[in-house]
Amino acid sequence: MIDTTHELGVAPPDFAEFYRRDAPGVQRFMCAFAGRELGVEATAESFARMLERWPQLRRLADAQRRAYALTTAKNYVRRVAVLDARFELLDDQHDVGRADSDLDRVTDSTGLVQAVRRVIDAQPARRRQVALLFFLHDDTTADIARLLDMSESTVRSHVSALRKLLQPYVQRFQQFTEASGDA
Amino acid sequence: MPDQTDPTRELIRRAYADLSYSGDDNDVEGDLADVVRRAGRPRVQDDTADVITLAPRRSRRRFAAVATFAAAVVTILGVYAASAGVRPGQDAGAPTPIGSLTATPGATEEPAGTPTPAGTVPPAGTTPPVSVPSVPRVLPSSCASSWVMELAGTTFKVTEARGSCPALSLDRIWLLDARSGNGRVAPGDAVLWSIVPVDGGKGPVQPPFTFRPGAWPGPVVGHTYEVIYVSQDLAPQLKPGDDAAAAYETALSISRTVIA
Repeated sequence: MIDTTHELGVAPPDFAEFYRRDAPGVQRFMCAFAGRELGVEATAESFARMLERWPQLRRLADAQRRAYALTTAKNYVRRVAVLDARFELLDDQHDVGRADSDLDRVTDSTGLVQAVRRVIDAQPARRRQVALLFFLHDDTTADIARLLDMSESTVRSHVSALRKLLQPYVQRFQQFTEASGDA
Repeated sequence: MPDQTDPTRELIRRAYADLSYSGDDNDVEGDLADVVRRAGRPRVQDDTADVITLAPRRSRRRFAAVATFAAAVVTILGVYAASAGVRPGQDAGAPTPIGSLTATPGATEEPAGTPTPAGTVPPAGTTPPVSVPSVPRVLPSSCASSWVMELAGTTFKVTEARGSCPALSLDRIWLLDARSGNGRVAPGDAVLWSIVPVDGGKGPVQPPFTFRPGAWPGPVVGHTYEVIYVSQDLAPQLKPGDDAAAAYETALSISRTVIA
């Protein structure tokens, strides 16, 4: 039974519950964001930092704790990227990804969302990170610029490029939703 | 506030639906014990949840530009100070510009009779400044491979192809003895030997002169020899026979290469 604090080598029960509930989601996102190895590492480090501050953090609401864990993990990735120069320092403006050629074979919305994911996953690392942060996490361009160590205009360029890249998929998506009566 | 009706956003969210918080699985890699272990580990930098205060790239570029400008100003002032030199009557104890060879007893903290960095030996009890050839603070580009060497037995006779390289301090010039490398000096490719003028002089040297490398075992067929000008930081640390790779990285070639 978990009933002691981490100073004794065991996590307090409410932290253990928080970890069990939220760590998988944080880790999935971080693996998509930064790759599996760094994503797992960032998640573990993030929750370790939270455990150290758990007396203060345990009072936060669930959503706030989740946001704290994600922010800490993202900052960890950023620090690794800055210190180790792990991300390729490409000219962001010319960092062009591949388009997916399977769109013509997509016949339903399930296949479409899978194709969209393939397209985004095939993008260069930094553009893929912008996609996840901007569209999935609703992070602001200023926050993304800080996290990825790029200018806000570069973030906007990536977003614009992604929108352009996904334009045919969006059109197909709208056709599917209209046909199925969802719209 | 993001536009929640944005179809692109909606499509991407559906594509990455598995990244949302379902809260009903626990397939996290690693375990809580690992987190607990990490929590007790000392870290180099704290507060990862806080905003990391590294300046954005633009700010760093701006800082670099300011730093470059400041360095240029300092360099110009330094060159000006060096060209002015130390004049007799300068305050005792005042710092002597590096490279100034107008040695004034009392102007440095070294006792009389001790060789100065430039190799002059101020005679004890004398006050007039000892004039020696001036060495450059910044090596002129005209010095590049300007010396021509001729190997004769165990000595090198040095002449100058272009008469525009000033005298150079002996503690900065070393003989590069390369046994391999084809012009590239990696660790193990070459060693350094000190330059000892046969006339016994210890001051700055300028062709024509003849030297014998200190502690040198002699020429080896196939080895190449050239004189290099090492950095001021490394010069005091060098000993005859040292590997040349580190010093060669920042050194300048003074002579043309001689092949034994």
